[in-house]
Amino acid sequence: MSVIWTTPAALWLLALVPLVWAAGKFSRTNFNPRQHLLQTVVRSLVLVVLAVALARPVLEVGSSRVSVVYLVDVSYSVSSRSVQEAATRIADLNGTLRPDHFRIVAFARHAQVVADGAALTQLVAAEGQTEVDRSGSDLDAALAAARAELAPGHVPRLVLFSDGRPTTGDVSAAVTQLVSAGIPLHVFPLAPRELGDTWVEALHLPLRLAPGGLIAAVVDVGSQRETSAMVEIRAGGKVLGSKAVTLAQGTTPVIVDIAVDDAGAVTLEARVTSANDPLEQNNVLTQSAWVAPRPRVLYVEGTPASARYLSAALDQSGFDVETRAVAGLPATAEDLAQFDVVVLSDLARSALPDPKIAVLANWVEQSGGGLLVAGGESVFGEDGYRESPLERLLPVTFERKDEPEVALIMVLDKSWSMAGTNIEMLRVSAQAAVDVMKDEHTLGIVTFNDSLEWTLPPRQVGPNRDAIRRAIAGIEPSGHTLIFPAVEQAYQALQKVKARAKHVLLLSDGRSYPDDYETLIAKMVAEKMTVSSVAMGAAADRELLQNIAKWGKGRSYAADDPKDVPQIFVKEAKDAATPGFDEKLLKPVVKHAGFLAGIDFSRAPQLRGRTATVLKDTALELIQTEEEDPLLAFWPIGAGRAAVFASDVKDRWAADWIRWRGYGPFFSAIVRELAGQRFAPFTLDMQVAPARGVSRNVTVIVDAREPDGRPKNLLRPAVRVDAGGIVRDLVARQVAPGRYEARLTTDATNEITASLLDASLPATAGLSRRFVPDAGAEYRFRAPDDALLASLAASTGGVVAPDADALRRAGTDSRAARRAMWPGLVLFALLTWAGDLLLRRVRIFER
Amino acid sequence: MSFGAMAGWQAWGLLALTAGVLTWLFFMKIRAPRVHVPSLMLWTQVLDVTREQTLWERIRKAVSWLITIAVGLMLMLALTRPAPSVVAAGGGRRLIVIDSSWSMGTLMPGGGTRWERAVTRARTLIASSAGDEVALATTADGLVEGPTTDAVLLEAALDRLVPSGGEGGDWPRLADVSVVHFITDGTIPRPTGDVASGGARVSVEPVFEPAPNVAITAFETHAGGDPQSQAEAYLELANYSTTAQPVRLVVTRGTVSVADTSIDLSPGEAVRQIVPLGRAGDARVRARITAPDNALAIDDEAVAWIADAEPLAVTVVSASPGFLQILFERLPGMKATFIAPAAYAQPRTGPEHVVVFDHWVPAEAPATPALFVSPPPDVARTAPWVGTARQEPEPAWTTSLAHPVLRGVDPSTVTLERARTVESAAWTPIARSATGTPLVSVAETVDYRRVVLGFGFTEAESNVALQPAFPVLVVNALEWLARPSLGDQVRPGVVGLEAVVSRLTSPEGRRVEVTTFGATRLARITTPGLYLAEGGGMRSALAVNVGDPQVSNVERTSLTAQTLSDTAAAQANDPWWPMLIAIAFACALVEWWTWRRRITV
Repeated sequence: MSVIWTTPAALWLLALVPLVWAAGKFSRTNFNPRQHLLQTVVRSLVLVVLAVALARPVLEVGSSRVSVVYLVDVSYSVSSRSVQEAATRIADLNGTLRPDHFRIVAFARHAQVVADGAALTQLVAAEGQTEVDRSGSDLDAALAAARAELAPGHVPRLVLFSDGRPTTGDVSAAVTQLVSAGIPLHVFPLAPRELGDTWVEALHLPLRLAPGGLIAAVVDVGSQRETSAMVEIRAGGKVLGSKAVTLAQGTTPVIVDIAVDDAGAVTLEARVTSANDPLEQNNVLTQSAWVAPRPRVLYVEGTPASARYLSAALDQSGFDVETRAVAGLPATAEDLAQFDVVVLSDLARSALPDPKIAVLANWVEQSGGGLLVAGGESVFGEDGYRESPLERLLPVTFERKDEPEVALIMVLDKSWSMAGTNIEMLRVSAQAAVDVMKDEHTLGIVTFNDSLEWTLPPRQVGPNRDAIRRAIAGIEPSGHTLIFPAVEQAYQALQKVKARAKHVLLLSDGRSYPDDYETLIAKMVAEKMTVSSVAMGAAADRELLQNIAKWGKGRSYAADDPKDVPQIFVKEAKDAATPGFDEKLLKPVVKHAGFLAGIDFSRAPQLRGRTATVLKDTALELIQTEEEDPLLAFWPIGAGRAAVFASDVKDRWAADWIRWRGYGPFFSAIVRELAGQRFAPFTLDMQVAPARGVSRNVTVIVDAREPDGRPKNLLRPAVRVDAGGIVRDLVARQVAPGRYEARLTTDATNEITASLLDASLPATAGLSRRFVPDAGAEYRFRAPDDALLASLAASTGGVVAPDADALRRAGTDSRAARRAMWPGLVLFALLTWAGDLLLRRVRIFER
Repeated sequence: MSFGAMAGWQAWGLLALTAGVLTWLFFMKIRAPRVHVPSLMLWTQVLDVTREQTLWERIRKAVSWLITIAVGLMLMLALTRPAPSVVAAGGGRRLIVIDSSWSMGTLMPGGGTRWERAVTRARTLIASSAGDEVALATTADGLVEGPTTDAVLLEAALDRLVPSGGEGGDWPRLADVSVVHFITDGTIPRPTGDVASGGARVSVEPVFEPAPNVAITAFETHAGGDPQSQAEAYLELANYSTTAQPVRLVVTRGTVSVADTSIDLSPGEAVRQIVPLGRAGDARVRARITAPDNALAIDDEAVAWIADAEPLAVTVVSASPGFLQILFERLPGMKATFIAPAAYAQPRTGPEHVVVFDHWVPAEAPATPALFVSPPPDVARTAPWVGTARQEPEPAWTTSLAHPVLRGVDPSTVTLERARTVESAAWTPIARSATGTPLVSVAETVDYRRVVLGFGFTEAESNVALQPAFPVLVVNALEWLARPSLGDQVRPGVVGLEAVVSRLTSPEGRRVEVTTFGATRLARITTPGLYLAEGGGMRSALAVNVGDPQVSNVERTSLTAQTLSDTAAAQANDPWWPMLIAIAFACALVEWWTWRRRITV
């Protein structure tokens, strides 16, 4: 028993009661002291009782009288037999418990009091239109209705028979109200209806959907029988994907690959079709999804003619690709800001001015941009990216981790035409080349005119530097020019040398007889040899020498001034010593699948070469060569990410890859991983509250961010909400740093689309969310939600499947009945007032 | 006049009876005390008194009688519960729904608040129920009382009600209700279609009078994503009146004033401000406004909580902290203390929000939230409470659930050389290897929160320490352990809290009931303010604000002109009985003095 004081301030009136006793000091009445005392006590009592009455006390008292309301779910998904069993159980419980008061409330979309179990049975037996709309289940409203049926002044008990699958209402709100009212809710699970039906239970989509790419959608199909069915997913009437499946009893997850063409909010419709399906309403599940805009990729290719392969692959995988030549690399942050990922493929260092790299670096590190650098011969060495600002951004350094064994054969023209300055410069050049070669390297010199001579047979440089110097100094001009035998001789000599890198440097100033150079050079290339050529002077056969270099995968030089030759020789010697790329067949080996999981590398063709790189300490190596050289390296840097693919992305080293099925998925996975790090300037979310009655509350939330992630404040984003065809334009108001909200209430059955639209905010184009209410929710015959039912019971102090004793015991009885005390107190005061009057008229304690 | 407790003739009869009984008692002849007096003295006294009786002496008996009768009649009249004459509605079960939106607390130019007027209107409706069952509900509380025919009970329930929000609430849909009386100011528009579709007639009872108001319509802080960024607050003030007025704004952080300024607001003007707060300082931020024409008080104050204003006190128990030490030295929001495992049992002073156990697990479960890093392989023997050990060489991190601990952690950048973790029913894995080994697990009850990382940070164990995932993962875990997210933009109503919150205390120090419902905790918050949330060794705060222009703009209503025109007709007086009792109390007290002084008889 407890007392609630409604207006406790009135109790301050009690402070005036001592005035009654103080009056005794000034009394002129002639009653004897004992009667005086009695009169004072009685008048004080009147005043105390009146003051207490003004405080409006409400007495809460326990009761032994029990009021039970049985709440029976008669919605369509519940089997009639279960409801009949519930009716029987109600009769049993009432028979044992003998409650002082009980009611039966049948509920589905609405609640209805029924007279008894028989009426309940009749209700579910009647197909078609019934008093209770069975096309939904509103447990929230039903609990409120059940509370209203509890008899006042009784110990309250609610007993719920349900499958625990409400389709509308907010059960959590109902639970808190039951808890605060001290009403325990006991539960009995009800079995679902058995029709031998098949239905779509759920549609699961990946968190991030991109247009154009393949999306593995999982359709959970429920079935009450074994059957074959066709599962398909549609959007706007168009079938996006389908699959024929055999369904077992229960739930079968079916993976359907779909592709969505456009970004934005899309309404997907999962549909199952099976033979002899008794119910249509549950064969379709409609769900909205947000397809992110196609990430924008800037692809800068050093060989524009070869850009089509990667460009097409990325385009097909759902990226918006803009291909530019090297001059098109953005010079401003504004130009870069429109892209999510930049791909730099085989760009020479000289084509990348430092200011542009600085802009690029800032975009990656501060704005979260993604950068993919693909290899090529231009990117390596002192003239490549080594120790450049770009290298700082990347997960690799452009150097060799090992110094390869190198064999260099110089094939030098010593015909008469070389006499004079040319032969002098040739000697100087050869000597300069020797000077930059390391001791362990191998060098051979073949000189030729109309015959050939091994001026220096292949030998190690270190112990023979003096001999080499003397041999070079001894080269003298004579005879005519005959190139082919000398090159052939160099080829044969290199065959016998053991070295990882074998290079031929051919210099000539004249013209030779035609021969089958191409076949010879092809043989050399096949044996991992490379050939560079130097055309000295205007009389040289430049076309031939260029072709030789081209066929030989080397470099060709035209030296009009003999003074340029030493520089060329030094470069060739250095490159031969530390080649910036390995042109050989490479088998990619997956070291760490990471975001490449799902790509079948067992069928990946070999790559034909790679740029030499060394992994940085904190970088992640995903793909490597069999020699454990990095092929694909990745790391986060600042707010962005960078990756290096050490081979190329086109028809040179990746000539076989571009025909591989995994080519597109491989690069799209990389680019997708690189994208998405940037703070979207605007994100849109729509929070749809559970329907209550015929309406639901909707909150549209816009988050605005600066490129560095800081909140963007003091905007007035406009939001368009289309609810069931009624379009409203609302201005979202700011509620927190960077956050804006627009709220509205709409009809519960409405499909709702919210779009962010503001002409001043171009980044908001296409930003929208959609909500589609599940009209068939009641017709999915899922097993009872035991977890929800158990939670309902546990949180309110009820039990699952209670017997009569449990109903009698459980719950709080102390607040069963409330009574306002003031009428009793006032009546008491009135009677005491009469007594007070009597005490003035009758002298007691006197004779 | 009608009588709520009985029929009119019964009431009048009882009043007459009361008057009769009291009159009879009053005029009862008092028996004088028996005193022996010599007759000569008596007659001498009589003959000597020549003074004429004063008017008061002549009428005082009549006045005394009237007072006596009046007190009795007032008490009896109170029992009959008189009220102004009302027309009984009749026609079955009725539901009275009072809109308990905050705007109902608006002080009206005509006097009283909308809420008081609504309660008065409800009383009138109850009085007119004429024996019908009446249920009482509010949009915030749902069903409050009834359905019952006991008007006293309904009135007592009305006395207990206060506005407590309920902007998002709705009225309960009761069976067999013929009429729903919705008493509202119409500030928050509410659809009535479903009630009507249920067969009930909806009668909107307006209690609207436009009133000027100034409000804080938005207030929220943002601590910034990275340690260098500063906290800031977004503040929106609005003047919903037809005249310009100066508004004094005071923003405090703890007890320190951050801003104290006066702003002149034009009619209908809203001012939006970003208030820089700095990073360090008190976590409690409060904004308060005062203005001359301000009809609604509930929106004059707003609160916010900067969760990471106070550094987290972390104790790292490790024999060789290595990368952890380097990390904590660089994390500005952390204050780490490093101790060896042997020193763990020794008492420590100062706050300790989280304990990190690096490659070591104590024999007894810690009382504070704890992060375990790569538990030792013999953990089942040395600390059986934590579970059984499980190891896997070179695990591939393949599965991650959406969990705050893993937010922003990119498994694709992580290479693990070995996993060494624990398993038991208490742990819920949130990241697993390809073979199913838990790599990150969490445990959460009302008593504790724990996280176990199945990998260490040394080079022999993983590359995590060199990856951006390292600080992200560790900070996420520590934040989750010590500062559970309690949500942004919390408004009064039913609030979902994390499972670890076992105790919620209101700004006044009152405990708020927290109900476990499935995996969440529900609390019904009825007043705005800063609520203290505790559980599992953590303490945090929940900032609850009204902040809503729709609530604060009490100048306008969604009710139609036709509905509003009924306002005057709907006026009703308060019940008379408290006033009758109060007058009776005063009369009884005064009469006692006059009688004792023989001024009355």
